[in-house]
Amino acid sequence: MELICVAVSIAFVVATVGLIALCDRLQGDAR
Amino acid sequence: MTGNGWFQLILYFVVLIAVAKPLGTYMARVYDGPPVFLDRVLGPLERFIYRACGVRADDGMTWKTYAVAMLLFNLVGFLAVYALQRVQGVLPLNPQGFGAVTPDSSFNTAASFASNTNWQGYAGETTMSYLTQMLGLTVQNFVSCATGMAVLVALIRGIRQRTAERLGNFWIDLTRSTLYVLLPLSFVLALALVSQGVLQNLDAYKPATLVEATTDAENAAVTEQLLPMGPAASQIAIKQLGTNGGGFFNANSAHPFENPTPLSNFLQVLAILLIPAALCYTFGVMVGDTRQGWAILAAMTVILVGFLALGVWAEQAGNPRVAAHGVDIVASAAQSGGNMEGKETRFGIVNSALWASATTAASNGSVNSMHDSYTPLGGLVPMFLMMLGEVVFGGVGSGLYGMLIYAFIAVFIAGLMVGRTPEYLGKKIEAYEVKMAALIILIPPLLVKVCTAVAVVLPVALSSRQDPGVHGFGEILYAFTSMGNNNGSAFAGLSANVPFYNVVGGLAMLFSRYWLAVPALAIAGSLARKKIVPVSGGTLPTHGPLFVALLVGVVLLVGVLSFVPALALGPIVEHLMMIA
Repeated sequence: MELICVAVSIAFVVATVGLIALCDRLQGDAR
Repeated sequence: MTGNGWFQLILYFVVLIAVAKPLGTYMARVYDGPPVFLDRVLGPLERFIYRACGVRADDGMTWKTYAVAMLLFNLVGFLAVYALQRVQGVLPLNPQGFGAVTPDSSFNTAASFASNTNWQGYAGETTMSYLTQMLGLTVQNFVSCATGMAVLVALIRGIRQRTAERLGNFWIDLTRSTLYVLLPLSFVLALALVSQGVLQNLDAYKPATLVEATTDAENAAVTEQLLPMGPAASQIAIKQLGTNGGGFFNANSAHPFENPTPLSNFLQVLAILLIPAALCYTFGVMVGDTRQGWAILAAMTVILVGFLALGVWAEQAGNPRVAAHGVDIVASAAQSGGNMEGKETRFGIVNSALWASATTAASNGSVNSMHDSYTPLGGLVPMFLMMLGEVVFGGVGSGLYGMLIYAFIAVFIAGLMVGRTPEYLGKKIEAYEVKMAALIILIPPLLVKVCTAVAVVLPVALSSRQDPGVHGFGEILYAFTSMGNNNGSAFAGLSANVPFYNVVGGLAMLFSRYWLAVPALAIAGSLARKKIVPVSGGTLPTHGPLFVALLVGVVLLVGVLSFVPALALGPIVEHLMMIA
């Protein structure tokens, strides 16, 4: 269970970095 | 409803609105820099923190830097709370000798307190050491809501800046929110709560001899009860002020050691909406037009009062099936009447319904009555208030930035209707802002509905229900509505401390917090770069009754379109069954 918790936490962090990159890219496209 | 009930409701709103202006003015000074009266006391400590952490006051951040700082800070908090729970058994301040919390429960609680949700799958008095409660949970109560305030301030700066890149400094906004707003208010409220009998000690639990002996489930005689102790008041003060809501004890603010008197109840329910209401005025001051803040506050108040009225009416009307058995459910001088199941007699129906509405309008989540025992429509009220996305007052900071996103959508819709480019406070709302706003508005309903749908087909999730049928569905829907909107209140009928709800719910809380904060900061960054468009004949005034009505309509419409089918399967059909 500990490993599952670590895995989902890492997945969330990676996904959030991806979200920042997506928001930034869309902002670049909008300019 | 009795005259006493009317008086208490009117007094509550009068005090709330009266305090919003002075506190809002003070907070605007905290963020905009002019000295505040606490500078002399806290200024040296603030400067020491900046020196120790290497923070320079003139270091402005772009939205991305601001977002990364916010996420890193919260990640560290998340890891610290997780680790603290896992090793609490070998740490001090643990007089009851509680062992390590399970990994899934630790994950859920860490996500819950870092994200300002404060959903509790555990029971505080049987799970957490005093060190975990103080160093883990109480600290997160402060910094998680300070994080929300910081993101809000960044968005306000984005709205008012002209062709700028920087939104301020996250570390400074976080520190000033905590030092100058949250700590002083919590200190005063904690003292007031102690004066009412709320516990504040580090003693071991104390045995008390029962006045009347009883028996346990195995028919053995029970003559003693173990009374929980602990540093409750200091946690409860920030739990209410910071719209956190996580109780020191399992019964939360229904517990007599957390909320012993009608006065402690009034102070706590006032504290729930105090900062979210005052931040509306802060917003008005910071954008240079206080009418804008009043308009937002008016929209929030209109929605809250409407649902509060429905909740009080439903609970006061009670359950006709109970009345059919000859039970007197009419309010009188001798009794509250209505539906008193799951409610404390010292609070009665009005104060229970007021709390249920305030705690779910704000993303607080503390309870002074058990929502699972409400009538179907009475239970629908807190559920639907959460489903509105926690923008009706909402979380400290997060509620107002959520409502500002709705304001962007409102001017966008108004612009579409009259064929003009939408503007809000002189900033054009264009495709990028609307895309980000759409993300913010759609993520919570998506989380709630997908997680609920998965839960109702998994036997492991269904087995946690207390009740079968539509009410059991309502328990699951309520749980994910609460976690998926960062509220944290529980319907109290679901045994959620199992791996499925802990892991899936933990993820829902993380997504609903940070995947809304990041796009909000992105909007702030985009708006900050734009010029301010002068007011023209085609500008929609955003400080008048028309805009308030439009904003209320947009918030309700999005909520209704997103959730009415789910509500129809739960509390609505349950109500029809009750009156059939």
